[in-house]
Amino acid sequence: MGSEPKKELEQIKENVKKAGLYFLAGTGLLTLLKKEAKACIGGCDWGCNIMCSSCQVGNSNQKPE
Amino acid sequence: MPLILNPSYKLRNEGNKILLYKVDWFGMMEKLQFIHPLYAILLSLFDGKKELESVEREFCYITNCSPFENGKRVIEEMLKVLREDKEEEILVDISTVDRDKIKIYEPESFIIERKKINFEDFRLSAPLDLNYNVTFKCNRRCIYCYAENQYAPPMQEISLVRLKEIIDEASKLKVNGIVFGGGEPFCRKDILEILEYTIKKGISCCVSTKKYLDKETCERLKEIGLEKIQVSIDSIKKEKANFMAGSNSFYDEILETIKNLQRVGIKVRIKAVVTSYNISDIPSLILSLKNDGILDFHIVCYGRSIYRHHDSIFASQDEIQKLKNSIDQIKRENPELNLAFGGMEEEKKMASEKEKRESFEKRAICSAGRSSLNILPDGRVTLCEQLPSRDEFCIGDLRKQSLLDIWNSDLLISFLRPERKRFIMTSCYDCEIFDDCNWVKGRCFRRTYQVFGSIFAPDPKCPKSGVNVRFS
Repeated sequence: MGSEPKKELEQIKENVKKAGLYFLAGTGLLTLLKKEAKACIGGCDWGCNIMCSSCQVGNSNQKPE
Repeated sequence: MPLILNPSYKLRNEGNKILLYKVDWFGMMEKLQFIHPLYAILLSLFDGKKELESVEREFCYITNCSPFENGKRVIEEMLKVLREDKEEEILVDISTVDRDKIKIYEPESFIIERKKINFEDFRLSAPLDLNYNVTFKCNRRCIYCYAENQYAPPMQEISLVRLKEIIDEASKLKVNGIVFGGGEPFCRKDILEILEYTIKKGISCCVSTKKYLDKETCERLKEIGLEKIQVSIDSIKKEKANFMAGSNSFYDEILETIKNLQRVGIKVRIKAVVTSYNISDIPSLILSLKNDGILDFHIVCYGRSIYRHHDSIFASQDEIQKLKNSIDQIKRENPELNLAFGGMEEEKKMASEKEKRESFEKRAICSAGRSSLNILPDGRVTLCEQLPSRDEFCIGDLRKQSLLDIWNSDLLISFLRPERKRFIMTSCYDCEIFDDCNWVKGRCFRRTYQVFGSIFAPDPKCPKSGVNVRFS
């Protein structure tokens, strides 16, 4: 690691700390992180607003197989 | 082996969480997921230069995670979480990625104050996709078309100058892609300039056409950086294809267009709409065009059109099942094909109310106003391209407002969080899940309007609606 990247990392570390995103005790936040990461949504996968353009599509609620 | 975020996945800071989304063949958003900022910081450290252990050390350093062995375990778990439910690997070997597809993210751009982090609200901070109806003009008259075009009053198209300002704003908002539809997008004279500007701004372009594109136009499209385009043809039989497109010159012109596009190296995806008229022609269409070098196909069943519907356009469920079997066989015999088939309604007759309710609860989240906006040719904005362009469905006007003004407007929110009193005399009025139903997943405005002539009515797919209508 050269001196410049290290300086950049220090800055990131400082900002991560300021934002309160430090790990408190290694794995302490993992449970929370996992929960948050699972807050998923799936939009119209290929349906009415994305792929239809000038041409008709079917039911937006179904995925292609 | 230095790793990097798979170019099929992209990140965007939403201000209170990070959006991780997958893009499709066109580079348009296909699936999305919210992640904690630390996940995004971790992913952004994979810059294609460092080995895994260096990334682990850097992540532990900037998050003050120690001892290192603990940190490694945390990272391993985080990557496991990120890989869940994904068909593709989220991190890939840098040597397998095209140079022009490499995207490096700055870890710092994903730092969010912990107290601001919020996963409760699924609505995005700005649109991720725009559906731009370039023009309502069209030189074809497809029997199944859902577009309002010739049924709408004449519309003056928004100026190129203003359009470029909107594209500038979209780029600043990190809008991922714009669908160029209509009407026929190539019927607007300055479409090439619009596409060129959009591509320059780093926004994915999803263009679909049925128009004849000559050699010069295709060369120009290549020059401006268009890599892929969708071309629609519904049968490889000349008379049938012309009938479906409502144009006697369509077949010859579209095959020539495909050749012209291929000649300049623009990838073509074929779109075909399955109706009772052409369902038996679909396998031969795929195989014939495959022999001409086309590898990407998108086959969908006809969906009920507000303006041109007739039940006879629907293929029967038996025919659709047979086609599905044929397509599965083609896929097995031609694994190199990227062949998607969908849009059919479930054949299974749901016996119980419980099954119907579960099916409705599993519906896709409506993207209208949650991840996308629909722009009319004149610059007015509506929630969904399948609703009529009348003022009652307009949520803004880009001739006078910015994208963000419209996105955050009370008017738009009033469609996503409608007042209960607007649903008086419907089954929604005293429904216990009224608020969540509207705000979280939303009801399908198109279906609701088609059946009730109003969007302030139950989604016909809701078992409480008492409606049993075939939509596709």
